[in-house]
Amino acid sequence: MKLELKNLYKEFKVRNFFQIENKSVLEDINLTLDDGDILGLLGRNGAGKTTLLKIILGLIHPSQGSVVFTDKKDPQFGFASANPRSFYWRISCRENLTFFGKMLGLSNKEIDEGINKISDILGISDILDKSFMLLSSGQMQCINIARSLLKKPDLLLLDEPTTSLDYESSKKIIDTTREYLMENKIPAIWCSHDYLELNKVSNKFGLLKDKKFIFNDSEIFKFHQKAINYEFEILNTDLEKIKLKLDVVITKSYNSNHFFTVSDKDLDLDEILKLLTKFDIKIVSLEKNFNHFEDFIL
Amino acid sequence: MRDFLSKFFAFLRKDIQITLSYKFNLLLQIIFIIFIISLIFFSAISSNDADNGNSEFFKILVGIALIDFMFSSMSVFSREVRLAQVYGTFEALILTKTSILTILLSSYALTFSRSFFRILIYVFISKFIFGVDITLSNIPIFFALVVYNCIPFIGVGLFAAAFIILFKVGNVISFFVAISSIFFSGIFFSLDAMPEYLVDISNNLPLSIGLDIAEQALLSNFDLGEAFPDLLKILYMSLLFVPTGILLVYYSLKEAKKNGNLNYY
Repeated sequence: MKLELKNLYKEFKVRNFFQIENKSVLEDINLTLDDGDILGLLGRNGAGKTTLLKIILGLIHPSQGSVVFTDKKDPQFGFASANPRSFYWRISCRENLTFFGKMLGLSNKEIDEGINKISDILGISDILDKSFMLLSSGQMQCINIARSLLKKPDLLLLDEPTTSLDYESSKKIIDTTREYLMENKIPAIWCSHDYLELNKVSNKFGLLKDKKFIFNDSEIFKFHQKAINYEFEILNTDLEKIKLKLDVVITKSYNSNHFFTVSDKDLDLDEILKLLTKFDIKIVSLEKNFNHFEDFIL
Repeated sequence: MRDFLSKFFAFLRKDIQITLSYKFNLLLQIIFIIFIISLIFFSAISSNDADNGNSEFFKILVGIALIDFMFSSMSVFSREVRLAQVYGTFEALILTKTSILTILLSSYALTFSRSFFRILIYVFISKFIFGVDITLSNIPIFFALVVYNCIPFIGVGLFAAAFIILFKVGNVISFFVAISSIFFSGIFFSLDAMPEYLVDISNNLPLSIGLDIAEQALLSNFDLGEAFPDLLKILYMSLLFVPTGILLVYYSLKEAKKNGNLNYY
């Protein structure tokens, strides 16, 4: 299935007693998503990411423009956000999933098979019969994703699905969801503030900035080349030399070696490597240490 | 229809599971029903002679059962929309591509069943404990009439749900329909005390009509043919309120999607 957003605009009416103002949120959004594409969507808080997702889901009507799905007139959406309130807290996870399965028009057999399959993938079989209110945030998030995949979606939309999760839970959600999407060639839009997370799951990057959507593959490439995103390990003896040549921040020292990052945002990795070679400074190791992409681009 | 029934029963099952999880509340509800019945019975008996008291008790009991049934039909949709918006389940339900009408009508499942059983309890306690003269063979007709009389209220309930989706707080529609219906119903005081034009209004309100028919239905000499003109009035009201209610719900949904406040209360 292919998703196309054409010249999409959204403005909301803001009412202040007797005054009504129009507040523009999104302007001239154009975007295409093909089968198997996973778009990583970045943007500051309030940039309009959730509004854009809800427009695609049909929960908000655009003021202008259109959302077009080719090959499928009425596609099935999967949607998972960081909000756990969209479940019935006093009943078990299985009962919740069964209920939503029924709402999705699935038969009892399809629901049982779906729950078993998804819970195996996400590793949540042991919590299925627990009351939803007794789950941790990470477990709730897994159930949220399980619901979005219960009926194989034509398009999956994830709105900051790993917010407030610890590293392990977040990694589990990222890895399993990515694998599922790749395996089933389901197109997806993954919203997050975490560039590292998006770098793991997405093959396309977009940014919502000043109400506009920018496809940012070229910017991402530049971002990858920036020296600020790397951590260098050098020998103790080279430290003074480095300090004379570059504005650096020592991040840690270990086994007489020092780790540093560069402060100058404009320097490319190539330039640094050339400089270090020129002054005969040996690089013991080099690790990616990404900065916030939004800080770089905005 | 099969799809609708499957969703309707899924709602019923889910709502029963949630209700049963509040065990203490369930117990209190049962105690409350017994308390209300005893209260009405003894107050009716003490203020009249035995026969009159019995019929007064029966009238109030049927009235309360009907009010319960009809007003729950009217208020359940707006209440469920409000709760779903507060809990955040409304968008999740809409996203399943279940139509808004199926969601609203299915959310009525538990309330309908509960009101149904409550009436059944009222009728049986009246008959077997307090000895009210009720013809048990008429009970199915009585229920059919109660459900039929509820249809205009379901229409009004849809107006109220549309109101909540559009304006959120303050369910003006249910409030005015409820208080005016109770006031003009003649359950709590005789309509003879009112001016004649108000009596005319009262006689044409769905609650008053429903009350008359339902009371008669439980008695041995009930004639469906006699009730026909009143049943026709209910039909006209249903034809007016239900389609208008459906249109209003769809309109409110469209507006909420425009305003982006579908999931907020």
